[in-house]
Amino acid sequence: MIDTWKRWCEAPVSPLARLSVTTFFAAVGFLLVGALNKFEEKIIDELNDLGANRIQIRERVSSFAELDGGLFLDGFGPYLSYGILPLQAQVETKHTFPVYALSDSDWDRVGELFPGLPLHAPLILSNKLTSHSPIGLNIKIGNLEFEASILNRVDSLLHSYFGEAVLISYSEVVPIGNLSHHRMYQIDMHDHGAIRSALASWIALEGFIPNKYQYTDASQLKSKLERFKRTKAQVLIGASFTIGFLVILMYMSLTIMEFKQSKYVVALMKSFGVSQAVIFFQRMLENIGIVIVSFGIGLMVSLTVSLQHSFLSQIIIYNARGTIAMCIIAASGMLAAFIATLPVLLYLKADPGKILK
Amino acid sequence: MIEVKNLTFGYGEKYIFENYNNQFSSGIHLIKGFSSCGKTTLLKLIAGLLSFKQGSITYKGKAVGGKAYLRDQLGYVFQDLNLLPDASIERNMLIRASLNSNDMKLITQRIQEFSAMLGLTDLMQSSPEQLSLGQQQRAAVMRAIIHMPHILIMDEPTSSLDDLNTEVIKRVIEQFVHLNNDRVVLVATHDERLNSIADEIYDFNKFLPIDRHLETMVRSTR
Repeated sequence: MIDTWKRWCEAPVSPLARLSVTTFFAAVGFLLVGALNKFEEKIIDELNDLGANRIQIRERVSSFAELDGGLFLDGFGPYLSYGILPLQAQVETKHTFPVYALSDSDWDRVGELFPGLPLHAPLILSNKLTSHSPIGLNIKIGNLEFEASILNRVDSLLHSYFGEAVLISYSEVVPIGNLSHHRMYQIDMHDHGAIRSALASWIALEGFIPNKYQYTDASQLKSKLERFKRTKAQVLIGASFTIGFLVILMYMSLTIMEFKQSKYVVALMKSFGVSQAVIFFQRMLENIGIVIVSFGIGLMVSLTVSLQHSFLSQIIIYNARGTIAMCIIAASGMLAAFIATLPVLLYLKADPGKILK
Repeated sequence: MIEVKNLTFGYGEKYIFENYNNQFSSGIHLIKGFSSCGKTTLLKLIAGLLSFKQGSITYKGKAVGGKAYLRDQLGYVFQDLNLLPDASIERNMLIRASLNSNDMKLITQRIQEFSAMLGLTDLMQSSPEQLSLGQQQRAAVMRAIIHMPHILIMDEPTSSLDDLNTEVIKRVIEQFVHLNNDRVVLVATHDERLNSIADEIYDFNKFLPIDRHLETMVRSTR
């Protein structure tokens, strides 16, 4: 190792060329992994917002009194009951939102489901509205006017219940009347099979009425995500092969360029009694060592670039999937370094006496 | 003793040696002859740097060649010297010496002794290209003996050297043999100045007829 280091110090061009180009490939590869991770995370977030991980069943009930009655899905997961006004809330910003009226017990349940949610009604759930006023914005529902606070960063689960909407106390909108009453269950996908069979039994008993029940099945969205993951894996394999191929190409080119000098040094070492295996493994370990160091520097470069560049700052390099991807790219680089050492075998067998004069 | 028995070797279809026999006992042996008569080839064969199909070459009854022989028993001064061009003279020595000894203290001591003997003390950190031909030649000799081999093979070690440099190399060869009477030194040379230290002089011309030499020379100039 010491000899290798001294040799590199004496003739730094060759190792530096290998190091710099491999570092560049590694950094590009890691940034690509980061971008793919970010894209995947984004899809997962979007699917979560769409309720992809949950079954959502909405039941329309005939009266407010029915809302708190037990339903067949009790026990499978939390539910919310609410009334929907036939009117839209008009916000002073000219935006309009549907209005959900919650009873006191519903507000309590919302509080349990979403700790930290400001519970002073009315509350606008919207990611697109902002207000610099501590109170919020003026809204108008029918002939009634309110001062509403705004929740800008709406939790994806809460969003899947109500979307962009105004939540208000039931007592505030009673005078407006004509509420339709609903109850909604959000149940995690891991109970999917049990829910399906319970739902099937129930539908068999009561019949399924589309206007009364809404049932969201996320399996299609899930399969879309799976398709993306497969595509991502293909891109990753492609990137690994490309990086591996480029490393082989570059290292082999350098090996061929240095062929004469390298052949002479190998012959001289053989004339000193150094075994062929030692020479080969030393060359191989040198190449692999350069690749490992390059990938370390490449990782640091990609992290630094992603921190300093506003566009790239979004990418995710560190996560479980990213680590596996980086390991695959690094392994392909090391394999390439090994393959690139093979040309040494061409002159390793030759008699030193035929090379050295 | 080095023993060459029934050695047959050639490049391509032309044989340089056919059933060649010789013995080189302890001491200094000069091998003389026309250019391209096979002096260097014989040295390389004895060094185990060329493989041959027929015959045998042994040192103390064991076939020459192999890692241990090259590493421990042999020191070789090539005609082209073959110093590592990017390495300093000191590292050229360290690389060679550390292959058969891990004793850095001993290696350092030897480097100091031999560099003083060969007048290279102030040049140890220089690269070969910074040295004159005479200094390079002395450095090549030093590298060949730094690990105290039993066999020292030198191919034209004093070609294009002035008398002073030649005298230094002659003295080193004599001291090398004098330190251990068991050592064998083979020197391929045209240089008459080395005759005075030789225990034996082999004239290769007598093995090969003149017309064969001419044929070889004509072939090599084509």
